[in-house]
Amino acid sequence: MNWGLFIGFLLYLIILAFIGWWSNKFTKNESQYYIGGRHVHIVAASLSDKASDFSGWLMLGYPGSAFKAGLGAIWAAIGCLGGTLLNWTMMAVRLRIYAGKLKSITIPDFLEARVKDHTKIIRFLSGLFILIFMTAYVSAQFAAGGKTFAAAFDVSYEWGAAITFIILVAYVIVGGFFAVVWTDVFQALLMVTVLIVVPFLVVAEAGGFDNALTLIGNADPTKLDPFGGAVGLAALVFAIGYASWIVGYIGQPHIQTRFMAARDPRELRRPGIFISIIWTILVLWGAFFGGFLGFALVQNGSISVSDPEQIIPTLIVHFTPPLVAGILISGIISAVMSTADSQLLVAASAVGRDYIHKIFNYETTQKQMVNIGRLVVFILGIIALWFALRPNPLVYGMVATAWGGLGVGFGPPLILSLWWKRITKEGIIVGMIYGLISEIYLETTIGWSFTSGPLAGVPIFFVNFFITLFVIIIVSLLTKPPEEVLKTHRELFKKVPLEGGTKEAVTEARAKSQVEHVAEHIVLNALIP
Amino acid sequence: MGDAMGLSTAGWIEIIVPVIIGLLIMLLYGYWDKITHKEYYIDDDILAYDEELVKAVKEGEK
Repeated sequence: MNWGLFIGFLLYLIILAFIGWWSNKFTKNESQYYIGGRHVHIVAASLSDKASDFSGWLMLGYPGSAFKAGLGAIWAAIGCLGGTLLNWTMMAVRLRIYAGKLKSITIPDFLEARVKDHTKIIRFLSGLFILIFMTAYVSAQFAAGGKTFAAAFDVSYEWGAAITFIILVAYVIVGGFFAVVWTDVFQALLMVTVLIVVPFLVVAEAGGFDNALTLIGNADPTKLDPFGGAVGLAALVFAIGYASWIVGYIGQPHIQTRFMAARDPRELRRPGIFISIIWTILVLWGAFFGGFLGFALVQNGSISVSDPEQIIPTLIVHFTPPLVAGILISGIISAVMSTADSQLLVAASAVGRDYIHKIFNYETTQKQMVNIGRLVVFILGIIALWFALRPNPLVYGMVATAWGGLGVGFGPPLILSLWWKRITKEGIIVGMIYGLISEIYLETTIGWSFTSGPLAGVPIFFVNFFITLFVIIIVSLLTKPPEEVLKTHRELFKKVPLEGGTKEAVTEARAKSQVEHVAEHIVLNALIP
Repeated sequence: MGDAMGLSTAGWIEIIVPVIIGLLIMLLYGYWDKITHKEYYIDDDILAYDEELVKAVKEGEK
């Protein structure tokens, strides 16, 4: 055991414990536990959105991919940047407006209220999607945590996964959404620090950027090719294979919930998107260059790695003194924790709120609902840990399956609900049933990506996403939404003039708009003879 | 060490251009309300702090 590393990590744990204790003061009812009472500061909502999005994949998986594939791996970063832009431009503001109007706490709440589904089938299907795929996702995070602890602190993988479980479940149970959001903010800052510092240190040790590229190119010239050496159609499929994660973004409940929790929808436009996109660019560049250029240090013999996914922790230990390394290694564990905590909370909300509270109509006090949520977090955490402790866990496969399942299940109904007034409950129900059955069937029979044919290497969820979208559109066109639903959608996204941009001017514009609406109503309905 | 190698033009384009496009979309969307002089109509109902919380606080005060 390296005690310097351990003390650095202990400092990180103390900060997490403090945030958990502080957040507990603000968690008294169900809404606060799951979305912080819809009153989360925009800086926290933005950074928390990104920290929840980027899991151990950012600090381990993606640098490992850049290490192995070289320049071509940047297509995955392009997909992630595109997905983030898609989320902030198409989903964030409209989802927050709808959530506020319909008083929705969870994504199933929103979908049900949006199309007025009194059958509770959408809520039931949503809960099923979340329980199956989110538990797999959390399990993958426990596995990633176990591997990181094992590499950094010389403990067994099983103990590493168990330590991840204990820390994570403790602060999710104590603090709920507030704890998750504010620990995410701290963790997002730690992650960006690590990923900015590491590539510069690598370039310095390699003797400059050009020297590093020469070392990489001499070892394998295809690592400097934008398409990994592929040409023509193969190059296109190569790029789509990496960038296809983009479509999964709009269906991740743990990411979308951040938008629903923001204090004011207008802040999501500005400064929300600025904070999120700039942070995303910095970490993706850092993770890519860390892995890509790290290969040069292996070539010149400065470091050695047995597993490419260990490149970032290896570089940290190589470059920094033990105490600092302990804090920076915490940045990697942060990435794992900040995703798993949000996923655990969303999975708990599916059982606690959607099934127990809404479907089974179990009425109880707010305090009891919060405690039920905490119990569910603990039970789901145990199940996820059990999966993570099975022999030879494949983190990448578990993440791809979960990402795809959630992307196909929630992506098409969510984006259509926000942008198409004609979507119907029948459309969502049929689409979700198709998505659930096809994802489980195809991923268990073929795997997470096509293995042969012209689409070899392209994830199954990328194709399945568009089929589900098509199914929902066709069924919705064959059925009819209630007039009330159409009216709400039309009125909700009405735009009013922004005069001068001051608060007073906006208020005045809104007041004027209301007067105009009354006048229009009177004229149209011939209320004045 | 062998001959000096660098990134091809296509390589630099792949790294730089998506970031520039991303930043442009960010700025365009971020200031879209200022550009069009229009914004979504946001009423107090949408902005309202959670109703259940307000109720819980009031009950606590009694």
